[in-house]
Amino acid sequence: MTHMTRRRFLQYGLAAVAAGAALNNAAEAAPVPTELGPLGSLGFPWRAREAGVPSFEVHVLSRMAFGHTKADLDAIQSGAFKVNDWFEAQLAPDGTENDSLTQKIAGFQTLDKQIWELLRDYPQPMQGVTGPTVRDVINELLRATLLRKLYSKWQLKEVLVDFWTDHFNINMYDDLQQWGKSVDDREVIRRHALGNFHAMLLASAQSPAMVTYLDNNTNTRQAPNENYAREVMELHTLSVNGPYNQTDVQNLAKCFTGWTVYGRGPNVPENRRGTFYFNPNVHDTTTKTLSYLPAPVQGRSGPTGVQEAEGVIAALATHDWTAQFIATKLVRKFVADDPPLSLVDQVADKFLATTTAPDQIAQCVRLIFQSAEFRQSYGQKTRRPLDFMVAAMRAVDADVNTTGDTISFLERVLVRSYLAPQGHNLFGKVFPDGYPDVGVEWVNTNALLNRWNFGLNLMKNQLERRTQPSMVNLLPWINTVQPQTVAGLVDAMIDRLLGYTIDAADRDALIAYVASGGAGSMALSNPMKTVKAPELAAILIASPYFQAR
Amino acid sequence: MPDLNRRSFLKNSLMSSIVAIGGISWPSWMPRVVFGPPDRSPHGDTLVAIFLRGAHDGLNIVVPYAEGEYHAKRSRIGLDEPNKGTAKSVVDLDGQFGLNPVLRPLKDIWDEGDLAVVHAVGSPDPTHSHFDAMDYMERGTPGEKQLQTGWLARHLASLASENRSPFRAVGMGSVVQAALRGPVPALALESIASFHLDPNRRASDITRFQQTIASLYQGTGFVEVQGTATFEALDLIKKIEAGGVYAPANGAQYPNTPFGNQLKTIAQLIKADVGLEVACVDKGGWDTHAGEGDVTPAGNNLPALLNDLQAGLHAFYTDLQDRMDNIIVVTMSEFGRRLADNASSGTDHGHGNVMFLMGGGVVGSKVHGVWPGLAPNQLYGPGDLAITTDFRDVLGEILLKRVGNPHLDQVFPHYTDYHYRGVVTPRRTRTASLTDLLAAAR
Repeated sequence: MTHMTRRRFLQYGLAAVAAGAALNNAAEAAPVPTELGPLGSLGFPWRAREAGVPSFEVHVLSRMAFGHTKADLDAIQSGAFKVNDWFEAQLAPDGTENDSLTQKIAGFQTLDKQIWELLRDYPQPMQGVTGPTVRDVINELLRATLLRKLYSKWQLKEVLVDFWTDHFNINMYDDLQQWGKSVDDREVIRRHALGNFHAMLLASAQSPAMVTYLDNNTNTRQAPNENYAREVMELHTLSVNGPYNQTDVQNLAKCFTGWTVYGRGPNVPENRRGTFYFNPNVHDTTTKTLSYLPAPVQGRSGPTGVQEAEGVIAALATHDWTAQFIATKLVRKFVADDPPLSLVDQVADKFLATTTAPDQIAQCVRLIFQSAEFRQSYGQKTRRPLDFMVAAMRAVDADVNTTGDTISFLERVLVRSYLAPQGHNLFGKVFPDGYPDVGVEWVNTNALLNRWNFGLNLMKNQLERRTQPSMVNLLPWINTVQPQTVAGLVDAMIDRLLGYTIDAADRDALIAYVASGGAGSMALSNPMKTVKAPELAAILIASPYFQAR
Repeated sequence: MPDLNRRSFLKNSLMSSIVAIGGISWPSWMPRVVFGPPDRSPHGDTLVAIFLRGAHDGLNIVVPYAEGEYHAKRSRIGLDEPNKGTAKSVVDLDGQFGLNPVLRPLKDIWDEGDLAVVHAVGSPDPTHSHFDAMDYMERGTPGEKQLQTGWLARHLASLASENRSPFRAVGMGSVVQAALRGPVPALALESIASFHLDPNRRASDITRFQQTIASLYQGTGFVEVQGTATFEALDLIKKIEAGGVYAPANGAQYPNTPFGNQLKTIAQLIKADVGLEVACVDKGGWDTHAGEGDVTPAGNNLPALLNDLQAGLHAFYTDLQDRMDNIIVVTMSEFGRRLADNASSGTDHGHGNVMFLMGGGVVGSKVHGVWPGLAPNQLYGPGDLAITTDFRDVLGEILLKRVGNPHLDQVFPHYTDYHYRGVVTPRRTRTASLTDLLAAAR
């Protein structure tokens, strides 16, 4: 198989891009047995009607941030927002943070703790016992995740955190992951989100939550468990079409025997409970062959046995199939559901050329940012439920009240009433493949209805009246803009929420709504500002425009 | 009107016509909406596909009690022969197999001839991964992941249908099942009660608010098509609800569980004649590695799950009794469980399993398939029930004979070696003209 054909074959299998025509070697093509074609052909197109082209700045903020805020638009308008400078700064967060986030997150107790500390301080809930429980660990991670997406100044990092959270998916609602996902989020995902893939992969393999989630803790010489070995190749590195077979899965599982975690019982020293360690006593010391490695993995006994799988991880992290897979997923994240091959190949080459660089991932993202494919791809991505929710809240500067118990609004309402019913239950994906990143998976009748209701309740401050009575208030802004006519209000609102112009017929429909059938030249009344304006925003949030990024 | 029994093939179409034309009283929640010329829409059964996720333990659901190996290998959770007279005695089906006694109410349907079992059935792929196995089953392509569409989506797309109803295909739940993923838009429906835009009437001008959003979704892009379907569904649901709370017929009592409520919603849609052709329902939790239980429901153990399953199916059957000739229900699960129970009184991942079929067209009161036996040399892999019937044999036969789709090459590409087990009877083509129907009704 030639290099190019291999790449295209991989691409085909991953993204299901249009059928055999893309394949120059029919014998190697995955057969497409029906004329219906693969699902990729259903990929989310930009709205069939006309819309204006967003500025590059707005486009960048829709892809490399969770949408724009009012402050972003002001900075763009005044010329203070230099997109290249912004992007370069985003690649290397300097440790500062927005006060809005710092204040809301200040009281959090669990985000910086080691797993044994969490196990010690946050037990399973027991009837009749009050005090902190593991629910607090889970809730604080959900709250911190949402607040960071909403208010962090390091938006690109948050986008990549979302990306890697799916790539190294862990179901937090089970077993040691209840404590360990919080640690994994900090030590694996956030630490390496813009960094080096090999470092992230190794950290993930030794992350207690990953170890128990994919059963490596039960993987022993006597009773091998293939789960992690399979998924690390299929989902984390080589990809499902990668150059490995079932024997490789079994042999890699043997390499990983002994990669486990300490128990939680009283016989384990407190500061080791739940932590990762290598147990040479259950390690399989035979020599293992992996078909994609030039030489067998020499069996090692004693503490050096850990080096076997470490060596394989290094090889996997730098394998060209891995480069192609990660590049495909990154380009899909930032450019299009069907990633353009030309760019994927360039990013894969960059990935391979920077395998030892501490900013390997940042360099790959920079290449995407600078590409023509990225620049021209506006509107081709669908906002996933989390993207949609956060973008809507950012666009109207929603200020979530996080004082006292009110903060539970974040997981009670945002996660359970809106994200989970759309199938986007944060850290709750049971299967290890993570949540999908193609629009066709997220747009359906149930999801659209949920989104429309979210937009209206957001704008009416009715997401939870009790705790969030004044989360959104557009009136001060309207009074600053001072539109004189209905059309003036509609245009200002379109600009604020979307940042680009829309189809003329759609604009007319919005005018008709605000003016109750009247003309755009109608003078703006007070009820229009206080009642109709939030509803106008809700309609825009519900529109097809806002579902895209 | 002649005395028609439940199995009469004409009854439903007759009654519909009478209502549509004669104005005979009929529950007001039936909107009587017609999508496309009925003579050109598919005449097939409405297909209800139930996916029991997590790999249910077929050997403790339809128990091969005549096998000594069953009793020898299931010392912890095994059930007894029907004549033992114990609480753990199975309900005899045919002298060889018996139902878990939790499923006893289904025996009524069995005796009526409308329930059948296929045993030692499943997906031939050897995977023991839930993820892969479900995926293969829903795509209908064991061992292959190239095709991104689901088997039911391809089924719908391969028919030259003029049915444009937003309810043509419904996936119960928050996301559309993978089996329905494809070019024909399928409705994701949590429940009728929750399917509302602005349920609390917060918009100052709710009618115009909805109309404005709807106008923005006019177009042919993917998201616009979905949005339009949502409004069509909202509109229909409004009509369905206009007659008040849905009252199941014949005293049917659905369990107040997600499964029961979803089946009730499907029944409501079927009776409303909104063009439903395919519905998917999920019921999870069957991955019983520990504390599986035998016949006593507790928590989320197998008997508890079976209890919900039977209550839902029984209510659905009771509710839709006079329409059952036009409905086929089929259950499936990604793989079975090991013959031997484990030290945790559970069972590990296995291979062959059972499927249930329910409906007027089912060749009922029968355990279909070829029984491979449970002796060590008859088992598959690490000690699993072997598969002698491919799940596509069952689904293919249903599509061909009951749903009227001859294009199995598109639904199950690459699969040609069908072994039909005779699980359903061919559906009789409706040829009566409207005049005939009206004449018969007088």
